[in-house]
Amino acid sequence: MKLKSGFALRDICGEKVLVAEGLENIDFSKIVNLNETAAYLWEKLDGRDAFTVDDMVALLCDEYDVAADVASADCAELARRWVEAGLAME
Amino acid sequence: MKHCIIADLHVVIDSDDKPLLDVLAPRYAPFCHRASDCAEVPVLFALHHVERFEPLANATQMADFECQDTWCVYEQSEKGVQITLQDLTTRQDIAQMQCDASFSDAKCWLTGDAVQREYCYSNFLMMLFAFAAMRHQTLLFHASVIAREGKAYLFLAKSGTGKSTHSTLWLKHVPGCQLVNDDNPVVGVRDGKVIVYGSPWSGKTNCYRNVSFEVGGFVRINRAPECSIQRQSPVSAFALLLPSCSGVKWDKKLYRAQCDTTAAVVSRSAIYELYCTPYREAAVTCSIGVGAWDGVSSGDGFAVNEKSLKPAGVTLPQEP
Repeated sequence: MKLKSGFALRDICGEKVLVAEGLENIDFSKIVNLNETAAYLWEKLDGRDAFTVDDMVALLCDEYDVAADVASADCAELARRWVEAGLAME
Repeated sequence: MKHCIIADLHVVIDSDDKPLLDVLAPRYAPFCHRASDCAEVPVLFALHHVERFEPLANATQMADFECQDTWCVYEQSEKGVQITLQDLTTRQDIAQMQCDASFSDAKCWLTGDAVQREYCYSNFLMMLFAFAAMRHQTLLFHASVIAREGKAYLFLAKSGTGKSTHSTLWLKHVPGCQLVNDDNPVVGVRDGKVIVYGSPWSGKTNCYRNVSFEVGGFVRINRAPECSIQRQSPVSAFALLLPSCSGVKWDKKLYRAQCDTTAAVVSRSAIYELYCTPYREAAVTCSIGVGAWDGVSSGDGFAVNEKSLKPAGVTLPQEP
């Protein structure tokens, strides 16, 4: 999968949010609040041509002390929700 | 040339059209200064009123939208920006402005009688100000503003939801209030503080006041059968404030400046969501909720403790 371009990750009083910008996202009027781990993954994956859920799991396990099966389930869920929210393409 | 200082920023009005200037005067006079008095303030932009010019070549339309009583077309090319105002029904061009990409130098032509020319010229000034000021931690808001005891409160809502109505309720029922602006105040971050300024633009209310106050709070108004008020988290507050400013989302540089300033405002302000009726209890709930008023008013020798009668967040019987 691939993250859509034209989203800026911003810090609002310590919270991470994605704000759509530019012509390509002119109709995306939502602000998306990411938790710390989702923001970490977004930063690592933004700009990549393609990645898989396994790539996400590897990134997560590099940075956080988490069991692989838990990371795997959470990353699959996060990827699903990114697609659902219009932030990523399969 | 007329020199205006609006929200500490220097705007130059350049027109020889005497009837136009006469109609502009009531709005802009409170902000005008002698050129020598504002020589030290760098010019944010100048708007030169000129003869009709050629349209911008190879321009791409970025947006079109209803702008009060006109249709507004926003176009852009490598050379700059062109904004055309059209008659809402016939879609005939009635005025046009061209400016550089940083909105610092602009020219326009106008048609129609002095009232229409003023209307278009003033709209161009307002748009230029909104876009040019973003680079200076300054945002043009869509809000009605009331001040009390040295602090100001901005009421935000979609058009028609009752910003002005809510301001009127404060003026009527909360002692010691004044209207700062009824439609387009300017908010700036200055020395770490959030300041709201009156402006020459105030919708249909003639309230063109050259005053400024520290912001006590931002309140978004929602119609509801009962009154309640809640302070918002920073993320909700950011999402609430961002669409309340005039902006150009397709211009990434400007949009980032808008987001930066909005984030700076959010980190320094209290932002509330108010659910309310269009009646007296709305002003009482809100003014107490944002800490603008302790709820105690006195008049005719009677001291009425509003707080004991009408605590914030509680439904109150409607006035007869």
